[in-house]
Amino acid sequence: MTQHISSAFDRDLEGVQTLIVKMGGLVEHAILEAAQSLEARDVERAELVRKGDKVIDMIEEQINEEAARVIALRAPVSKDLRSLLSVLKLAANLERMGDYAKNMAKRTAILAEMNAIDGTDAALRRMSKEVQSMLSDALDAYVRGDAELAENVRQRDMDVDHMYNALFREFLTFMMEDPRNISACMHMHFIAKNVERMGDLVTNMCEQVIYAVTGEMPDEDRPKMDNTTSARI
Amino acid sequence: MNAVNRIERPVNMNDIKIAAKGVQVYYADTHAIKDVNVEIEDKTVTAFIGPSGCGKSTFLRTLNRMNDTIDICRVTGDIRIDGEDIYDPKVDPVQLRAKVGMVFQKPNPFPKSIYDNVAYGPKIHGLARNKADLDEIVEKALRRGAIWDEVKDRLHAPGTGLSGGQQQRLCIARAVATEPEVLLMDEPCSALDPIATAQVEELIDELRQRYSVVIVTHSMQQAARVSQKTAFFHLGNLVEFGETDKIFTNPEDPRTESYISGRIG
Amino acid sequence: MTDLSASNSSSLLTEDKHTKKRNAAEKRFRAYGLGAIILACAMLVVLLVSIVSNGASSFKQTYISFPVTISQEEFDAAEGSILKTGAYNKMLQSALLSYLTTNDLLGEATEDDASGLVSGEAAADVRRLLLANADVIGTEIDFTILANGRIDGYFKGRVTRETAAVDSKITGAQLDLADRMTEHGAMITKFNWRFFTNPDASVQRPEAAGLGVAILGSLYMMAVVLCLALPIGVAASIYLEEFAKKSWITDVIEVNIANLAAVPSIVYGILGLAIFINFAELHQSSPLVGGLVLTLMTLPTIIISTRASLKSIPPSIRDAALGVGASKMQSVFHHVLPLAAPGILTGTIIGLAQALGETAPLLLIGMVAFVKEYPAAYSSELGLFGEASTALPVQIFNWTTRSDPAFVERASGAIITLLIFLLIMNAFAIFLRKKFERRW
Repeated sequence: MTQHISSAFDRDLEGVQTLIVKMGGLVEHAILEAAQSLEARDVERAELVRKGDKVIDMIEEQINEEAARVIALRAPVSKDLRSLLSVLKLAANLERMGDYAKNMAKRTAILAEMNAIDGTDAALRRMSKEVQSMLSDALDAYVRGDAELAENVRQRDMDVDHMYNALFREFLTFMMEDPRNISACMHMHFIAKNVERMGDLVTNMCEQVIYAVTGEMPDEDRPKMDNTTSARI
Repeated sequence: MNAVNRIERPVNMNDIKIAAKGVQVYYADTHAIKDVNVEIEDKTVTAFIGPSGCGKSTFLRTLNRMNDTIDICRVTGDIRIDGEDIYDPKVDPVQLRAKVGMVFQKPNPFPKSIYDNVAYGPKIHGLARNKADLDEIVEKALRRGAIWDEVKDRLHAPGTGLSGGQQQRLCIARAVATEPEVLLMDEPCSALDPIATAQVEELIDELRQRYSVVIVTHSMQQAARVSQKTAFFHLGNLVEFGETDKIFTNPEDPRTESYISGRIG
Repeated sequence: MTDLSASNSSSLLTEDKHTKKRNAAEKRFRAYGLGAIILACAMLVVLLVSIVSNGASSFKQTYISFPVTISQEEFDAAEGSILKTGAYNKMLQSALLSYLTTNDLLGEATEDDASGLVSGEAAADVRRLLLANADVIGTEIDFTILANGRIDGYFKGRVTRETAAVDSKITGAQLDLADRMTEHGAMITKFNWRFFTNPDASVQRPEAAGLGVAILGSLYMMAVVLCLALPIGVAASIYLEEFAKKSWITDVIEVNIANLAAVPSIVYGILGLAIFINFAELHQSSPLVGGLVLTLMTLPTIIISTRASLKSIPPSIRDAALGVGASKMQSVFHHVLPLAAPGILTGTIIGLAQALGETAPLLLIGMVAFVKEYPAAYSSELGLFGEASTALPVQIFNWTTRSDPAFVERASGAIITLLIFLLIMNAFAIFLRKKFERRW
């Protein structure tokens, strides 16, 4: 798209975009670090993730202020307006994701004192990696204004949901096998749930991106493969 | 974790260029400007906003003593530019107006060639020693007015043959040709279409690197886009003066709030 | 919902009563206007036709052309005699007679008849010619001399056989002789340049009367008016419009200037008489005094038109000049005045055209005299434009008071000349205005 005649307007929009990209980068990093520190049961690393959440929250505040300022001063319309409104929602979603990552890190400290449960760490790690990759692509889609990419990412949440389903069953099985595993499994389960929620939040973000680019919310229902609400052993 | 910096916006630690204290302006018996105190910074765009008849244009014109041409107008109070009182009897208004340039609402190029329009000011102030000097001054001014590329091939065409936006940029070039330190603009875009307006606003943003710009506008959005500091006038009083983004996101005075959000009466 | 009555639901394609009445009234008004214009044009046409029909013939004049040899002795004898024109007259008459007899044109006309054909001015003309070109003496040259006024009138239709019967100055035989000479080619009627160059002539010799002195006098006066009224008027106007503070004094001055423009011109004549001739003792009937009086008369016109031009310059130009740092004086002289110049010029030319046609004040200061010598622009005893002169409109007035019908023709011719000058001046004013008019 061509530049605005007012270069200051362009600078303002770029500034907000830079912030969201930065925030996204931080959240991706937090997710990966949290997953890796969980697998390695590295408590110090987890602590860093916990502390890093403050910075993420601060950037969210900044984005809110900055977007409000640009809307007040520039009175944007059409694409510019949608872009700015979306940024607010994206920031909120990212902040939630950051909180989930922090939660993951908090539970790592506790899990470090318990036995590992076979296979689940790796599975979690894979799930987290997938979510992180989805997040990266979603942010890419926002920056490039690529609605197709956003739609693709949206569909990938199905995989995350599948992975969560599998993990849920595994945890149930472990817990039935040996009641001493229950604490660990419960914590792990919450972590898995959080990661699955993160995937849903990324899907939200994709929908926002599609709205920003095309002006319409995608109206097909989100593919939900999470059937754990009706699962029973 | 890396510390994240805030978005960098220029931090304004500029000098005060114009200091006005206790300024009153009377038109015969009407008290048009009531006790205004304001400090205008250098290398900054300051906007005066307010409803019609609130005195913003009148106050603007006191800054370069254009009100002297109106017999019934009387100005009292202290107005200092760079510390010097401009209403001191020793000050020659003509000399003042070379230092404080003005651009008017309706573009008013002289009915002469583009070159002569810009060269007139430097000529009468003796700023050029010879033709080569004058040519240089004219080119520099036209570049600063963001119109050089469009007119460099037709410097001797009449100034009145340009489009509205180009004429206004020509008037801006004419105003900066005398190397002023302050630029006063009285609703410079009100006679222009949106694209020409945007071009002039972009130009104003460039000008503030060199000059102190004071712009009167009845469009709040324009003040929001263009200025760093905003003064809100109402019925001859200066109601609020502050950073533009603060005024437009969270003003202090309720009158400012009403005016900005369009809730009058 | 109210019922729509029939009149409300009428269609746009039919005229309702109000519109019909209004349209009829407007048509009538337009017809009245057109009628008024036609009436005015008709009167103008009648005026022009009568003037042109009377005056067009003054641009032609009848001359007698025949070969003559003046020997050196005859020339010396004529120069030596006391009444020089009498001697030249005799020479001319004998030369004419011999020419007529040789060509067998005389017929029943007597010698007196033949001599009577020649104008009284002819002798002086011939003398001037011989004095100027001494080398033609002794050779045969073709003289072209003025024919008598009555002969001229015959060819222009004023004089006929019937009038000749009762006229003492012309006989039927002379008319016959004239016809024969015309057939032979000795008498021709051609374009009369001397109408513009000759000075005025006596009542007896309308054929020699010309506008030369009058044109020169008018020219000098216009020069005086231009040099005085333009600068004074423009300067006064600029001061009043741009620099004077608005007070009751300037209001009084403005009202008075407007009134002065309407004062009858003869009052200016009395003023001129009292001040310039009685008090300042300038030379009577000189173009200088005439010019001064006309200057006084034209000043209000120029001041008013200059003010109108200055007022028409939009204040944005002045603001722009002031904003760039020009002083009040610089903004007036560099910007306002050049833009107002076309209007000022137009006003000046119109003022000059008016002054050209003024008669009454000039009568009172004595420019009505009969002046035969071309006035010089500068003379040592009388100063600049001090020599006596007359003016075009005054000359017309003079000629209409003379009895000879040839002067009627000449007066009409002078009116045509005056009108042409006025037309040229006004056309020039319009041209200037169109050329320099600017739109903001």
